[in-house]
Amino acid sequence: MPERTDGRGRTLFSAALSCVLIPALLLLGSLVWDNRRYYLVSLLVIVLSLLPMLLRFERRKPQARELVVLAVLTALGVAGRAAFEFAPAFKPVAAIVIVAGAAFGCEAGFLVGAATAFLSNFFFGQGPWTPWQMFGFGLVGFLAGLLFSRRFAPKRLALCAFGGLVVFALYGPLLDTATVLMVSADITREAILAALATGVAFNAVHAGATVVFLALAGEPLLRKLDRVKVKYGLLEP
Amino acid sequence: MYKTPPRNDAFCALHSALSFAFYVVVLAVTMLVLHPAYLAISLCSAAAYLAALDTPRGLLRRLRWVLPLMVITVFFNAMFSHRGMTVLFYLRNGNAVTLESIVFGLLASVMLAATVLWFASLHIVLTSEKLMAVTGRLAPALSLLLSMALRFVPRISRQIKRTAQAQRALYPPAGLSDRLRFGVRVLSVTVSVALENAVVTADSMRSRGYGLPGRTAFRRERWGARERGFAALFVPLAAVVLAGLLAGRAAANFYPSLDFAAPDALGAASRAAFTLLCNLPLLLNRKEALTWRRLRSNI
Amino acid sequence: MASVAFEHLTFTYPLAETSALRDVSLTVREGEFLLLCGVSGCGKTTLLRHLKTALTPHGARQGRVLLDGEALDTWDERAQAQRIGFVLQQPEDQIVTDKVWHELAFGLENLGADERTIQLRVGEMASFFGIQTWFDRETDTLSGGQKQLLNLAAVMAMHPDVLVLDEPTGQLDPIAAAEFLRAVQRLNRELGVTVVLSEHRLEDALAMADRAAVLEDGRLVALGTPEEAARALLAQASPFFAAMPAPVRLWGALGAEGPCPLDVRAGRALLRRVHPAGRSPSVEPDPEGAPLLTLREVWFRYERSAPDVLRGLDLTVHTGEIFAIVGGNGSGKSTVLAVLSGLQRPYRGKVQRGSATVAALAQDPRAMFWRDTVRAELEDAARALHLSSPEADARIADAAESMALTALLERNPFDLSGGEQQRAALAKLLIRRPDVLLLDEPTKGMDAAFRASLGALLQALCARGTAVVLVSHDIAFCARFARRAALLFDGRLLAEGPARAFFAGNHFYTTAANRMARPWLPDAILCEEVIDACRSAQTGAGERSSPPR
Repeated sequence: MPERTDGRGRTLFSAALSCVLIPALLLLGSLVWDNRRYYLVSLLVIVLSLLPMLLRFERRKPQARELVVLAVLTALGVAGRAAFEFAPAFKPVAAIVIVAGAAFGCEAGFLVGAATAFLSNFFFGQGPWTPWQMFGFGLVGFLAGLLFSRRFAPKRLALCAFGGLVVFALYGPLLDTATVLMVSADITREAILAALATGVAFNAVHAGATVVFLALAGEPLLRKLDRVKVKYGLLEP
Repeated sequence: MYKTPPRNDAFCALHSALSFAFYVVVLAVTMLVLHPAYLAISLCSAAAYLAALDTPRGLLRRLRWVLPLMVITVFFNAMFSHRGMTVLFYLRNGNAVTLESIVFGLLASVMLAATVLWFASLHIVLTSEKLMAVTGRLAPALSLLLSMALRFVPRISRQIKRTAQAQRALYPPAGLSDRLRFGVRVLSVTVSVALENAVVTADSMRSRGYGLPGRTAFRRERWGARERGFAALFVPLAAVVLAGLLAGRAAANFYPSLDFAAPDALGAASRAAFTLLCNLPLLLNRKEALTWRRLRSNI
Repeated sequence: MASVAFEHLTFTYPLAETSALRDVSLTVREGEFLLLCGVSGCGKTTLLRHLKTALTPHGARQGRVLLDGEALDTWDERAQAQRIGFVLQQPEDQIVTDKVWHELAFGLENLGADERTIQLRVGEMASFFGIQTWFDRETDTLSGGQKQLLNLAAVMAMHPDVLVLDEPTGQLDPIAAAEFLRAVQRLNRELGVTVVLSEHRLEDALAMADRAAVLEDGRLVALGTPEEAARALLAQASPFFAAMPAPVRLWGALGAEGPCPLDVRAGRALLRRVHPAGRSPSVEPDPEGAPLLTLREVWFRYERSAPDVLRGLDLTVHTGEIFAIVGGNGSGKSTVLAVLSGLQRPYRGKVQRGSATVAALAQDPRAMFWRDTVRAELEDAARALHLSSPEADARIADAAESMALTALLERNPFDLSGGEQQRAALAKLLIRRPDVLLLDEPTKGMDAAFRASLGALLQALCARGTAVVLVSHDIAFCARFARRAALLFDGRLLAEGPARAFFAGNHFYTTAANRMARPWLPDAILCEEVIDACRSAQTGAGERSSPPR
């Protein structure tokens, strides 16, 4: 059945659903799946953090121009990841997400990040990693929006430093930790450190790629986005 | 590239809500229950369905990179988890390697393999169109955003190629740094062109009434007799599985010593139900194949 | 069904010195097919966009727009979205979603239609347009013509009363364009939809329209049946008369007697009365220049397992000539250019490039820009050559002048019109002083005036020794400006030769003028030549009276 999409009912319903379901699952998890509780809890935290952003976007009823810009940036991230398929760590996704956040704010950054992760996995394979990647890239875009708000025109150096840092110290470790949570019962410091250690090389390349892309393309891209923003009044309130 | 589902797979043709519910239940049980019986059922069913959906060779191809992952998982658990009573030997740094942690690693690796294989078949069954149908129900704006982004991806890839061609005629790149700069220029031009084009897309949306209140979401699916039949099997089976889990019949404790719940009547029922549930897609296909054979022999 | 009307509409864009529309009054009657024409930038798009509040540009406005006799802005957005269907020029950019079926349903979803209604209307429109066979496809896999048909069908699924089309065939090849216009005509005739169509290629559209309206500098200068409009233009000696189809121009040049011929058949009837005589003034082919670039028995395919695109193709490009390659869609025209430019290598056969430098113009000139001003673009192109600064300045000045860009140097290339963007991209290439210039469909989406000025610019380049190879669907352009021409078919060039001999020898791949005058003047390929022959026949009537053939 087609549904009316304007109702607040849906939003309330989804909110209620998450409010009821998530504690219930948590309770269940600690009762039944004792040795999987870390995994379960972390998964729920991810879902819980994704939901409010997505709900806010739904409720706001985005305008056509806003949608097309977000869709273009997302598609660019997906196409960028596909263009560098041969080198999995060397991908421009984080750089594009950071530029999106810096140009259009926290919410846009978060959405572009999460949507890019979700959609690119249609090409690279969905898996248990999908929610973590969505959350990870979403967070990267959100932070970029938070830091490089319109008042401070982002300097190249700041962009690069932020990009390198956030990928190396946040996105990478987040996904490495997710792996540990998935395959191990007790989360010891050693185990996490070991996982992080094995991920260092990959994360370093990823962070390096992000820095390179931001250094070369960050400013020109931001300038282009600003121009289009002014010319067509895109994403302006 | 995403594959189009094989047209002769009956499960692929089902309503998106059912495929989605199926994978949610199967994946949740697989990823959260570390009981050997359930995991064995899950892994075997996942492999069987993937082989039917893709080809046995496709299954082998995936197993080739799953197996090393499994070995690493076992190794990782043995190295970093030192709980458990049955010490097999001591590492040079004085830490114990226990039977319990190795068994946990083994089960975790089976869980990993089953998950990967289920996701591989999910990738074929839940096409972008089906996922859009599911998200369209819950989050229409987001679903439209995803649909539009999917529309733009091949366009942007093509635009990148065209731009690279055009720019190469002007600035033939030589050397690595030159090449990087060239790549960035192509990216930046592509963004400009894509955004300019997107303005037309936005006009086209507004001119067709996007933004009016009361938008509906159209889906090309119907909830028919086949869906009702599948749901009539799926829901009770899932309930029995869940009852078994809730009653602790899938409990698995590793530390301090191994302790797996032994099957009683409810446990056995729950496992049987899980077996059936995991194989519902194959059973549905089997039934349809039989129907076809009967039809053909009647002609 | 509905009527729309403009009442004394005057409109000025912000910061613009002159008005884009000046006191336009025009009523489109119920069920009418109105053709809106005029040179690029005359205000066609601005006028059409006033027919929908959501698309109306910002600026200072006087006068009113009416739908069914009531001011447009009193109709709410929902009524406007449903009753007025809009199809824009770019087939690709109008498509919103990734699946054909979803695109068809998109407008109805926005209107909040229920599932049954959507199903029925989508099914109906898919059947009407013959879309049902590609209903399941992804929109990205469609051809340009299919995309534009999909856009039309997606609009029609909302059951509009008025259909507004803004140069909808500008990006299509002639065959797809004709098919698209036939679909529009069917909608008008069979469903009674009111149609307002703007076009610059008038050959097909003029014959379909009930009335034509001509805009010049934002003013309505002619309105009436195609014949009345043509007479009005003729009476005002309007420069736009030159953009009319060949039969109309011929009729005008011969004194506009009798009914105005709108197609080749009627044009021939007109000629039958006049009896043009004698040989057309055949121009001696210029002596050929030195060969610059030669392809010898070139075989090419994109992948090992793919079919051959070029099958033993021979081609020689000489200095100072314009070489035109015509041919159907998918015949491999663009592939020939890719091989000539060295972008693709043949797997058999020889490419002799010698020391000749080759430059290719992208089909979308925007792909060549990345700076903020045209001047910066040109400087960039010069910098890539590591020239001394006086030499670079000289080349920039020269390129800007030869492409008529001097006044546009400080503009952002993305803000230029399509024709200006193309000239800017060409100027960028000219900085390299290429020996051979490759152009892929250079006249796509351009009106008659732009085509004429582009042709003149290219001829000026050739006079300096540059060779131009162009592939095009635009027969009239090729016939007027090319020195040699060939048909690409089955991976080979057929009938390669001087342009006049080539076009005069063809039946379909030739100009409308040639098709009209063929029985009397088999060698005439330009409308002017036919007109000259007719005039000399009229003055010298009586001297010769032998019937042709």
